[in-house]
Amino acid sequence: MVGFSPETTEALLRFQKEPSNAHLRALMPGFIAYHLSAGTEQPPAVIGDDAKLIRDLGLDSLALSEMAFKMEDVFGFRVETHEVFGITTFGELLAYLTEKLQLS
Amino acid sequence: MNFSSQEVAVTGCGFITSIGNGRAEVERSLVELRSGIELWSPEVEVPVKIAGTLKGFDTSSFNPAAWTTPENCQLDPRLTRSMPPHGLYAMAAIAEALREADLSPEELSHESTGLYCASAGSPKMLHHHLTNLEQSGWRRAHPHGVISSVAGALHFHLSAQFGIRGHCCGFVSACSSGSHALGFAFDEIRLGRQDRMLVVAAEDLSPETVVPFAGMGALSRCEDPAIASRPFDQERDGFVATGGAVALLLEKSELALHRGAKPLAIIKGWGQACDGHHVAQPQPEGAGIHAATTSALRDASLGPEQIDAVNAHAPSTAAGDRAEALALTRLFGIARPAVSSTKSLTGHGLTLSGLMEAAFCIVALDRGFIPGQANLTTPDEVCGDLFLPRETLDRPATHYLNNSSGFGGTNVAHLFARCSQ
Repeated sequence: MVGFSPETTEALLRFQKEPSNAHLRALMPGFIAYHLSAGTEQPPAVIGDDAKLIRDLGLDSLALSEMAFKMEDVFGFRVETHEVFGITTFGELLAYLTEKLQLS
Repeated sequence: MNFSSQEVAVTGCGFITSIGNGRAEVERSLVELRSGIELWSPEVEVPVKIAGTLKGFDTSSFNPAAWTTPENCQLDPRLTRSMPPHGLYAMAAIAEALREADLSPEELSHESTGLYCASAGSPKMLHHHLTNLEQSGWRRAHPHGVISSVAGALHFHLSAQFGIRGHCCGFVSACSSGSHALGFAFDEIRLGRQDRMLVVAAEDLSPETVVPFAGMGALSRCEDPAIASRPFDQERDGFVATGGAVALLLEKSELALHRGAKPLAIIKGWGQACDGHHVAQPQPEGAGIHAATTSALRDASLGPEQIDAVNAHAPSTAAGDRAEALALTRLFGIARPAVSSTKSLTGHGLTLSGLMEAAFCIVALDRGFIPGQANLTTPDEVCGDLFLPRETLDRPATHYLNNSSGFGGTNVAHLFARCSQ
């Protein structure tokens, strides 16, 4: 987690200790923020489910690919890049991860 | 000397080199002949024990977020997340060049401002990403695998970073890459195609870059950092590698004068010629070097007797030093400019070397000194007619020649002139 903010690292530790939707929702804004280019406005700490990953949060296709790669490292499952490119909103991202991680 | 408003001026220099991070430190090292070569301990055990190391940087991790920089070279890590190590060095060098030129980064984003880069890419990052890709069964390719590795990595990143909208490309011609970038950037301005050019050259200095040269017998096997790089000396036995970055800002003199920028030196001309002889060895008589330097003199409308100082390519290899000594002897005849190779202090910067050494000439012209030839005990017999001062000369040169040569027999020469003080 080198390069992630301390808050995001703490959120990840909480999620790893107790995987839940609530902890995943708290983790992902910082996870997204790490992948934004310099000069891009940071996302809010709480992101609405309708927020578009590209239009509203400032990710681009390269950042999405990098985020998919990092999700594999952090969550330990295989992510196909085309799967991530099909995700357009923050809510869809959470739903995708919830299913992959088999969170209740 | 004075210069006309139609000439091309250098108005900013930035350095991340083995002899200093920043111009002040570089200048002091050149004057005092202070070496940047020391024992080298990269992240893996390698048979190469010395290098012209970079001070205060740790880029050993494959994760740029883990890199550390000196206090005076702090950068937002998000800027360098997908860069190779030499991208980080380049960013720091550019920041200094812009400060010296009194130009904001935003002023680079203009249709009349271009960017030429010299880089061989990053064998370190390429090795890392390809190894991981192969180990994944060629299924898991890192999204930064290309942009952090390939030969164009430097200009990809810098053009995006600075919003470059003018002419932009990368140069790869082995150890003359930086000089080619500078020469063509100079042409862009004098041909009226661009008003301003940022020229950047950079090298990682990593085991992946350096150790393969040992397989060619090109590296010094001397383990004493103080004397390992010995251009023109009978006892030299190969080059010592280095890395880092140098940035030069070139401007149409008229533009520099109009905005009150101080020209550090004027570029008078350049020339190039290829040996057409061997993939890795120079033509033994230095025919290509002679042709390149002759061409540069013609381009600058200068005679050999008007040249006061030469920063030779001389990498501390027997074949390279001898060919250049013969070429310079033939070029200058009875004229005896001061000749030295600053690689004795820095080591050989490969694709960086030509631009780095051009920048050393510019600093020397601006400050009024000529660096001596360090580590010279017994000159090679072919150097008999060359003036190789062992100490720095406390006098300004008027015209400085910088030579650069690379594999394939590429040879490039630049001529710089001192501005009136």
